[in-house]
Amino acid sequence: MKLRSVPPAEYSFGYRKRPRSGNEINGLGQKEWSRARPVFHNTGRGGGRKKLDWAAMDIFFNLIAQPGPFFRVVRTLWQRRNYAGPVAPERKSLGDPMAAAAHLKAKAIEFGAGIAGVSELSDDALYENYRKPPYQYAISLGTPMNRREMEHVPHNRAAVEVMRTYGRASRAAIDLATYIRSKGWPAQAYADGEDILQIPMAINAGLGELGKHGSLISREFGSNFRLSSVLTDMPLHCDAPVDIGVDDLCLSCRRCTIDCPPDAILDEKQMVRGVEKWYVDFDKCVWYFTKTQGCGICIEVCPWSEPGRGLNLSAKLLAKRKLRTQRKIPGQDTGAQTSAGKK
Amino acid sequence: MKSFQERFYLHQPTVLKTLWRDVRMLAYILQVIYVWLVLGGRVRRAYLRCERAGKTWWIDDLDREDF
Repeated sequence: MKLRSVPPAEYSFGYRKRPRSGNEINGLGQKEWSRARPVFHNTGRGGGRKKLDWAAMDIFFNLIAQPGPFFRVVRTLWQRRNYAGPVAPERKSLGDPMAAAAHLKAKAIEFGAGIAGVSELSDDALYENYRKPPYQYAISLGTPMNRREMEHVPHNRAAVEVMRTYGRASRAAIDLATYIRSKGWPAQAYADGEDILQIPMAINAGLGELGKHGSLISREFGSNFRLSSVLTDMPLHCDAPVDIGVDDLCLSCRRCTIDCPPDAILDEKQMVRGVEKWYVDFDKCVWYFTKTQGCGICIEVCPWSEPGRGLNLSAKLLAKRKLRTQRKIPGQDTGAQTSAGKK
Repeated sequence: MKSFQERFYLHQPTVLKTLWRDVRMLAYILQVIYVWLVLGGRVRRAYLRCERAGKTWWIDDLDREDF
């Protein structure tokens, strides 16, 4: 995808007294595992929680929002009143956990999601010092964005599409949660990162893998989708994390690294709260993210996000990996085999 | 201060509880819109003025307890 005009990474807003490093809050370099800590786009307030270090930037982000994205956020906010609700007194069976999971995933697609998966709610989806929601399973939903609109990153038209998609993702989660409650099981929709972390749940549910740009990559939509989820106690068969060959490309591809205006995307995996993974420099990214009201350059220039490419790309990368593994056969000279193979 | 969930989610609603919740939530959203319009308008204009003049708008002042 060719980028349209890209504003420079220069800012007319700033902090007199800069807050604590967001990378430090995120646990960059931390060797022991711990839950994530909220940094941004999280009111962080209420329920005994502290105000966030970057709260001023977050408020500024919201205040300079253009009308298009802002009113879509307001609409989704109004939708949130339906995230929780009454549970039907009579329990109706959807079959064994495997049949129930398959049925609910199909329902999620019917309600507007593009992909869905199930996982057990684990600690890596929770924030430090936040109460664990009283549910055992998480159904992660991925709702695709309109690529034609997203080609306008990092401008307002793309920001409108992002907020529109969040509204649709929220709607799909609400409908699914309502459906599960109608079957007699407690369920609640979550369509923001305020109380739980969507990306770890989606990875655990097999929706995709973490890419170099810090977002999820799926076979079906690349990074061009938004997440929402439903937590429930209905016994469900869990999906497993997938390997679609993301690292096989990300380790050598530098498209997002090169195209990132504030140069926030790192070429190597980093140690973050005890896990080595792809990490985006928050302290560099947040300024450009705020200035452009959501940026999105990295997810749209990603080769995985080209429509219709992901499935073939995944198949090719996995096939190449298998070939590389097969070439390492004991007793055979790999170098000679390679040069002989080129004849 | 209660979280958004604690303030607005109803797990065992009655008609009256739902109605009252909707009224409170509408009031909250109207407040959000008002702040975006009025304070946001002031901030947007000041920020654009700084941008045109090549100056910096300091966002520290937004870091107040009442936000």
